[in-house]
Amino acid sequence: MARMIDFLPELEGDEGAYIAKLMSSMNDEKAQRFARVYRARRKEPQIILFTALVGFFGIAGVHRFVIGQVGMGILYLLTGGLCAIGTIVDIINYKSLAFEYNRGVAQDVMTLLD
Amino acid sequence: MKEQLKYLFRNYFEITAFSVGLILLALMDPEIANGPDLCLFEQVGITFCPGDGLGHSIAYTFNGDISNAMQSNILGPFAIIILVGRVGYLIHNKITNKKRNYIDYGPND
Repeated sequence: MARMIDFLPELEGDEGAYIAKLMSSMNDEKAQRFARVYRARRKEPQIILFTALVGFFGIAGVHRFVIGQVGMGILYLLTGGLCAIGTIVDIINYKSLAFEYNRGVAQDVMTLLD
Repeated sequence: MKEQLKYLFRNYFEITAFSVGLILLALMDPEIANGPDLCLFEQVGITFCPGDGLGHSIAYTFNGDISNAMQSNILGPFAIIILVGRVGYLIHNKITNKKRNYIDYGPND
């Protein structure tokens, strides 16, 4: 029974709850390995927020590239973030975007460790 | 109640925003609609915005008028494909995550 707060204290909100549940079935050694890889690969929600804010000053869509959504990234880049409306949607929604990416990372790491 | 609203907002905001936008544009008549500009860059006084005409372009595409759509903004059909794909992906994600019984980030977390 590994506790998320001991290994990845920086997580919070939805992501924290998800990782806590994932970790509850691991032993300490596996949890430590998981935490090391996961911390190296996850993206901070603040990174998404800051790169999304760049959209107001010229280059929109950087945050979509950061989380690997190339199609949306190109669309935002070429339309000024859907005339800034898409940028605003993503600034409101930045935590969900980061969580969506990090959940994928967590699932990848889980399959790597098995 | 408040928690439930928060949960719905957190989980469905992006789906709702994009699909409502697309539906409204599909229902809009591009010939008549010439109201105030929705582009925020124009509202604050920046005259150039690469997204101008995108709404009209999407509306023309839904009406099947590709040549007018291309004239409004060349990216209209491309935008529809990407946005529909994104909404579809999000809905697919919601369904499969529920099926696999991952935590359903309920209101009580």
